[in-house]
Amino acid sequence: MITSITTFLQETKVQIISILVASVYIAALLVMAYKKETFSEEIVRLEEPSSISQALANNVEVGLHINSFPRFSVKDSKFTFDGIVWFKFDKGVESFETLETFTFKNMVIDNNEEPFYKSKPIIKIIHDKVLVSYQVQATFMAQIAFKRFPIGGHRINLLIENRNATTQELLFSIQPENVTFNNELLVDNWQPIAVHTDAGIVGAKIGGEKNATNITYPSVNISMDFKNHGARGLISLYFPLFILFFIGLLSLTIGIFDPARLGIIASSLPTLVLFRLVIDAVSPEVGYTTQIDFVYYVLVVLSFLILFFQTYVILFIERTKNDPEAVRKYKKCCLESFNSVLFMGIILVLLAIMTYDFFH
Amino acid sequence: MKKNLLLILNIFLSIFLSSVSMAKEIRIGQVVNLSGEFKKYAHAITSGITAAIHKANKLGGVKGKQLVLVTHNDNGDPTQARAIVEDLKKQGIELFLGSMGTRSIQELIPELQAGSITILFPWSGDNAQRSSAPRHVINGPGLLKTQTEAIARYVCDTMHLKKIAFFHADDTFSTTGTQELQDAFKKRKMSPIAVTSYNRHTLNLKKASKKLIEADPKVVVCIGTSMPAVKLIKNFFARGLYNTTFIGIDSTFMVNDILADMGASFYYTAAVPNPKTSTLPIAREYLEALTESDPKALPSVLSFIYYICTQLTIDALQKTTTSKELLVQLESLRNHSIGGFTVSFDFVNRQLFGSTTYLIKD
Repeated sequence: MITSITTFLQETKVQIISILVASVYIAALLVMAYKKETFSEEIVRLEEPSSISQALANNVEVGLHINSFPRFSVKDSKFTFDGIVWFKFDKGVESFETLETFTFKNMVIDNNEEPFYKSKPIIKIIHDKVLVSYQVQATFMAQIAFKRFPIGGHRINLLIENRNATTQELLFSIQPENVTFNNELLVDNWQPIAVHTDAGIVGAKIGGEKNATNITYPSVNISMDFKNHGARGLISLYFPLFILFFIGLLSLTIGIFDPARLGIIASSLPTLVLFRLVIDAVSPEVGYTTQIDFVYYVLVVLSFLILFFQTYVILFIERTKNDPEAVRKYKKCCLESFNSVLFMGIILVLLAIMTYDFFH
Repeated sequence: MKKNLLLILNIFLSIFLSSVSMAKEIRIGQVVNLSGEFKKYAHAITSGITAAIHKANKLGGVKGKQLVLVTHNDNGDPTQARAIVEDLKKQGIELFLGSMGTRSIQELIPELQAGSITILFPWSGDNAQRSSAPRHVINGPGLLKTQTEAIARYVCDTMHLKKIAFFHADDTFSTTGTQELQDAFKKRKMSPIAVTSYNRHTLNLKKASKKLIEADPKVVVCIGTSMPAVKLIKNFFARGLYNTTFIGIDSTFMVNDILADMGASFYYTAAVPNPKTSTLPIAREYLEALTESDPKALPSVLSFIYYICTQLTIDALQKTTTSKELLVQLESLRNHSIGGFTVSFDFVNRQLFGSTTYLIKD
């Protein structure tokens, strides 16, 4: 039974088909992961204001319209947007003096410039409401999670806050409909697909749990889900990576005593190792392992396994040169069986790891 | 034909049912302004009324009938207020309690003179309206003169401070109040070092704040609502002037709650003692009733005032059957104690409330 299985596995046709099936399966997994709208970043939830604040504070509705992103660097987690921040409130409820002091959390100051550009207010009276809008351009850092790099979308959390107002004085409210995008918004391959909003308070507990020393101020969070519509990054990283690995794996399909086996793996493995430079060049600078890192490590380890086996085969040929023909033939037969099991084992391990990684 | 018959039957049935339900309850109307900052004042007034009604209903209501408060929003528009009152009149509501807005009340003077409606304790402070108030109005507290007098007395006689400044809204009510304040200080041979006003519709305080900060007064008297006073105090703090004392009229009662832990020195006048600290039985009763009717409602002097006003109304309703009798009953109250708080009716300004003005610092 075992002999018939190993004989079946030794068939070159079977091995080639296995590689093809594995390639198709991995490609399908990658396409599925690419199509799936997953975001590693959490939606920021703000603390709810106290009932005292809710009873006393004036309510101001907040909205944001994004015209463009002059800079949209997911890799650096740095974003510059050009848009309109607006506030809507009942007449006589809030002063521009207070409202105009709004800021964005984690703003970046480039080249000693002003933190962000803010125009003079544009005011409109709509029935009993006052609409105050400001043209703004700001650069901010967002917490971007790259666990699934280079696959998946990203959720960019933008916090608008007013540090000059207390939460008993002013509270913000926001709905997802209040966040709009320019129809012609073009950010490389990134496209906004959903918006989540939350209003509440943020602050600092300066004196621990003592309320008297705590500082809180009104804030709104806008979580924008961006989907990557271009597969270039995905293909340019995974395609060569798997090509290099499968070339190495193909060395196991050649005749067991063929010296070309070591040559193939000996050339594919260093190229695979050098491919790390390419990955590093395009990867974000993070301390944890991204998905591409994980796949890379798996392929390198499996390639090393193949290299060790091929080295063993070469040594085996050298050592069994003087053995009787019958013994040599038997050992060769065992080696061939092990070769086919190793080949199929590597493919199965690879598929299992890839499946776990993509569905986990 | 059959359809029409059913429709007529339906109408008769609904009229019958509504009259049956109306007979089981006494409906009281209230027209408030729920726009802008007035919303918070409306909520305070309504919470006090609701607390008293909730308590009365729990004890069996008035002559076995449950009290129901029907509140409508006129957005501060007198035309809307008139339309609401007309509509409520059609529903059989002729008694109004805690309605808001000087202009809205003025709009209803023909109805009040004709006696087709009765307005009890409206929240408006117009002096002219009080002096010429028709019979069918019973005013609550809110006279500015007593408040300005109390402020001047406190600043001069208790604080002994001379560098005073006035900060007021640019409406008639506040401007008149500021004039009364100036008169009260003039009597004590004192005059302010700065007087500034702000636009109450824009809350633009830049100019007003600058003028006051430059004058660096020791006391600033605020005549307006809570939020402008809050912003002024914050501007003073931002310039390092944190030892200035601020005193406001009754409508600034929210300042201390808004500024909470800022440590600002702010006093405000009120026609009742602070319900949170008062030992009067009515104050304790109010806090209990408020918590029971709306646990989220904040206790305040305005809410407490309307709790007392509603209690007075309920007590009078227990003894009367018509609106005329109700008015006579309320007008007859002299040095009447309600839970330790004494009220009297004054025929000159048709005010039914206490005569003491309290200065509160939470």
